[in-house]
Amino acid sequence: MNNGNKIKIFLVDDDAVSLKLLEIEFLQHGDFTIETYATGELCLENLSHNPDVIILDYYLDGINKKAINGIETLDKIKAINANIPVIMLSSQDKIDIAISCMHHGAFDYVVKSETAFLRLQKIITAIFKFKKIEKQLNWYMERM
Amino acid sequence: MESQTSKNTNYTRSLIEASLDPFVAISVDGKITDVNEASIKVTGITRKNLINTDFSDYFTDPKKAKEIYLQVFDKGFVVDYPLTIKHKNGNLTDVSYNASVYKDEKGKVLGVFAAARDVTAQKWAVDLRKANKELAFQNEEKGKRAEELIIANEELAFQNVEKEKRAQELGIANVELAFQNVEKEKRAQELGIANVELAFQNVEKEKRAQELGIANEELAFQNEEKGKRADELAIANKELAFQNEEKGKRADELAIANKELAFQNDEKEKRAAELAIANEELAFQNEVKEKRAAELVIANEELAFQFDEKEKRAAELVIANEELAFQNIEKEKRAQELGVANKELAFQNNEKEKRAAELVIANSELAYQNEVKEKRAAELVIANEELAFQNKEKEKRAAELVIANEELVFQTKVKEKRSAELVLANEELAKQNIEAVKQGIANRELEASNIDIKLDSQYSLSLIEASLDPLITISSAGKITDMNEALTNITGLTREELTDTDFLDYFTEPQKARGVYQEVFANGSVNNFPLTLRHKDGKLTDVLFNGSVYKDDEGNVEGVVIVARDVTEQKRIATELTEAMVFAELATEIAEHAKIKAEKATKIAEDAMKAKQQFLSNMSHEIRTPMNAIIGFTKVVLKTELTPKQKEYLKAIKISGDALIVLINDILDLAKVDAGKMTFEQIPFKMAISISAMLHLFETKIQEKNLKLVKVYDDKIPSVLVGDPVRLHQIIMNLVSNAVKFTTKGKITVAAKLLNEDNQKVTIEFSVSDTGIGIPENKIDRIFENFQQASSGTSRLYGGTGLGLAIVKQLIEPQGGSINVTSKVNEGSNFTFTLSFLKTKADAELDMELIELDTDITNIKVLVVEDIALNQLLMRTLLDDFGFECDIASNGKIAIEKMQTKKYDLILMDLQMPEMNGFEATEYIRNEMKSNIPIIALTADVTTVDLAKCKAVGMDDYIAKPVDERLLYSKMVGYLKKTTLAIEPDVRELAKTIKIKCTNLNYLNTRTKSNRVLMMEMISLYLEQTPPLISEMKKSLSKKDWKTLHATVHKIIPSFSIMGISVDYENMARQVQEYASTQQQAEGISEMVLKLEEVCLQACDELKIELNTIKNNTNE
Repeated sequence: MNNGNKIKIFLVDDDAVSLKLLEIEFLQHGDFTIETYATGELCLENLSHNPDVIILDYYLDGINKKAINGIETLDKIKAINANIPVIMLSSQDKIDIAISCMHHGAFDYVVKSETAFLRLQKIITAIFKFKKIEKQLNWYMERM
Repeated sequence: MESQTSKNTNYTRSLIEASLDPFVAISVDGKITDVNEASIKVTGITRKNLINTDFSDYFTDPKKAKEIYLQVFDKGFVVDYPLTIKHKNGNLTDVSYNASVYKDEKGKVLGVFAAARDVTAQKWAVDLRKANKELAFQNEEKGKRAEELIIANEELAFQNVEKEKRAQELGIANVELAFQNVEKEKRAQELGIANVELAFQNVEKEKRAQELGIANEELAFQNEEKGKRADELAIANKELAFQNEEKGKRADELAIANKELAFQNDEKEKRAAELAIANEELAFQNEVKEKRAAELVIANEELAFQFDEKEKRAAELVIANEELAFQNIEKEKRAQELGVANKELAFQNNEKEKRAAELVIANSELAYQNEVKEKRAAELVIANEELAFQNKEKEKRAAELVIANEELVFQTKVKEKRSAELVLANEELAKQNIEAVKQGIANRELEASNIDIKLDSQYSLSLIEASLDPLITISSAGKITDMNEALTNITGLTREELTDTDFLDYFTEPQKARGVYQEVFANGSVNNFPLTLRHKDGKLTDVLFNGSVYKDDEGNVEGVVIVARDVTEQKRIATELTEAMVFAELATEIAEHAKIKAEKATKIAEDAMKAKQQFLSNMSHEIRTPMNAIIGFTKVVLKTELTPKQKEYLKAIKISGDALIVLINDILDLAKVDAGKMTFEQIPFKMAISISAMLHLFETKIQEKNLKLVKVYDDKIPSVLVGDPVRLHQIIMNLVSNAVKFTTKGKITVAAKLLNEDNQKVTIEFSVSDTGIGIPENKIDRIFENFQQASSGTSRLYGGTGLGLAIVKQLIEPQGGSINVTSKVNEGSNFTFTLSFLKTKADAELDMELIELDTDITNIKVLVVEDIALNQLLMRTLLDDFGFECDIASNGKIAIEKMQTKKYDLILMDLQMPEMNGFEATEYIRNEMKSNIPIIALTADVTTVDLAKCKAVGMDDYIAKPVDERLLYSKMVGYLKKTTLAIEPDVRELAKTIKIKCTNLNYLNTRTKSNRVLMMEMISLYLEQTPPLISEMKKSLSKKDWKTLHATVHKIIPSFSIMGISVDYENMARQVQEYASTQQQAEGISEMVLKLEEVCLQACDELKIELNTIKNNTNE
């Protein structure tokens, strides 16, 4: 896609430590272009960079109360470009949060933990598989 | 005739033998010729061995006995001479010795007849008299002691009266104070009213000033208006003039115009002139008005100035009012304190009065007992006199006996005459028998035997008659056949009346007497049978009945010889003795009783003393506990942000609280001194630092009063000395605070001078001098007494209880020091005291005051065992300030449970708690848990008993409530340092394992594949992000901002696993989050937040180190 064949991922989290860790993991486990943002606003501002995947923290207004939260950010991303897959990330393992994320069009919901990165990797792989299938389907549909 | 004589001889012989008094016949050359049975008994030597021995051998003083013997020959007799007969077994018998010579019919002295009466019993009487005197003396002694007690009582009563007077004076002083307070309050009220009035007047004046201002403005405006109008008029005039000119011109042009017009012109000119005049007038009026306006402005300024002045004065009045109100409050407080002190005094007075009353009762009891004793003694004296009188009577009787003896002698003479007659008869017979040779021979023999018999009967008779004991011979039919003089005396009947009567008639118990009589016949004799003889006029005589039968030559029983020994005297003496003994016993008993009472009284007094101490101890506890909270929280609140007013008020609370604590300590100290419980420590300390640190406390006060503090310290004083620094502080503090109190200008000098120094000790003279009000000369002796101040007015002016100097004296003198004071009224006072201190080479312990917060000591876990919630909170606040972690247990049991699950570095232990108190808990910790953890007791009760108990159960130290922050910190740090020092050398490994690292970089290592740069980035991000999060978390908790708390904790959670911090903390954080989401204060939330904070800070510390190591490795 852009920037050669590298997949571009947006990481959005106001927890700098988690954000950094995630960035390190992505950089080490594959050939990604990573852009990190501490707030939803920054993420939205830079949507023009055309990320392939956005990993978005559910809680973005923990410290800065004026900041928009994860769901709002998700809605806005979807409003701008509904095709960008967004994976929600949260430290809380709560079904209602997960459901609300899905309702707002998140691709998946991952709980922050030791295995979170693995899951993200799988999800990203799945996303591209899915997209490829979709593309193929579209191609065939056009042919039809 | 012969048989008659022989019979006679026989029964006299029996009588003599029956006598209990030893009878002895002694020849001219001093040899014993005959003795009776009594003599044998008294000497223990047989008759055979006695006869023909020297009689004087049987006395203890043979020489004296011989002298008496010679006296008998000289005078013919001797009466009641005291001698002592010696028994061969060593027994001594005191006798009263009576002797007379006996002569043959020709008057030739044949020898001495001696009767020795046993007077041991009489001696007894003498001993008794001595014993009585002794008793009397003891009674006198007791009387004296009672008097002394009475004097002591009076002294006590006097002291009580004095104290009551003082209490009354205090009461009057209180009333006076109260009155003054009321007066001041009135004045304050009046001032308040005056102020209000003034304020009102001010307002009025302001209004008037404003009105004046408005009026002025109005005037100015009118003036302006008038000025304008004047200007307009001037213009109009000019216009008119111009028109006039025009008209003049027109008139000129019109030539002679109308006269009318001219006239009109004239008129107009006139009017113009008038207008000009009016204008001038107006101008003048304007000027006047301007002047007035200026004056008004000045007046206004004046008013404004006056108003300012008034405002200033009002402000001053307000300040004065506040001051007054503050003083009133202070006075009321003081009055209340005095009230409390008065109540205390009144209570003590009551107690003392009670004790005095008890003592008075005990005294009157004693006095009464003494009286009784004196009466008894008097009775005894009377008894003694009686005895003396009886003794005299006995002497009289002895004299009578002598007379009787003389009588006997006389009768003997008569008998001798009769014998002489017999001799004549014999001679007659001899004449008749001359012719018959046989007869003659027989006669001669008879004659010889007659002489013998005569001699025999003569001396026998004299012996019998000499006896004081009634001697009676009774026929076998029971009739009296013969008797001696003693019987006639005892029965009061004559010989003739007695003879041939039934002897039983003279006894009170004839049946018993008969039994005795029969026994004599049956057994041949009877010994010491007690019977009573009756005098014809009824007087009874107790006798001991001794009897034996006498027989004729053929051995036929002819009758009985009876000796009845008069034992009335002995009986009476025995009775008196018994009585005296009973009396003595009674007296002893009474004395014992009195002693027990006195002991009881002492015990009551001691109990009262104990009760007083207990009361003080309780009071101190009861007062200290709330004071602890008051002062402690005041200190805590003072640290928070406050308005200056609030700060001022809180400071006032703290100062009052501190003053109250000082007062309580003073009273306790005095009580300790009273109870002899004041002890002095001997510890090394640095004198110079100690004194200057203490004087530091006065600096603000001295500055406030604008005084100068001069310190003079002798450099020759060794730096470290052994003594009691606390007490030295107390002494100097008391003196300096007095100096500050009583000095309004000038300086206060505190000096220490080395007086003496030897190898072991130094003597230092301390002096505190001021330039204050001084002490009048007549009061100077009393200032060291309890509750004394130089004048009763002093306390009203300067406050204080008057205990300070008393305590100072009590602190100095038991340490072997002395205190002196010189003073001049209005010039100042100088207190000088000397104390000795031992020298030492040891280093003084670090001065408590000088320790600042020690940053090396971190991660300290303190367990506070305290049941009162307020104090728990206070301790937590204090420990938080110190940077110590603190857990609370509300009793000993909970504390032990907590100790089993967590390791603590130090325990602060309250003593009085429910379930398990501090003593029990400490004992358990020391003995069962075998823990050496430092335990510091927190106690509101600082009596010696408790402190001893603290040490005994194994506590390391104690801190009195209200807790002094600095003292608490320095003590805690002292123990913490000690334990870490003690542990470090040998248990280093253990210490390491104890302090488990909370972070673990394994995860980060794997995640970053040990990429140092990445790890460093991660760690520095953590270090950057975490501290603000922690502070945010704490802040939100204290503000109960649950949402923020929830969010911040949420942010912290992921980093736990990243940095390898135990999942327990992560769960804890989740729990906090859970609580926060319920939006309410849940139990334990603050503890958990504290723990989270702790672990995060520890993690930060550890990570910093890690970061450095990584950095260093990277650099390599």
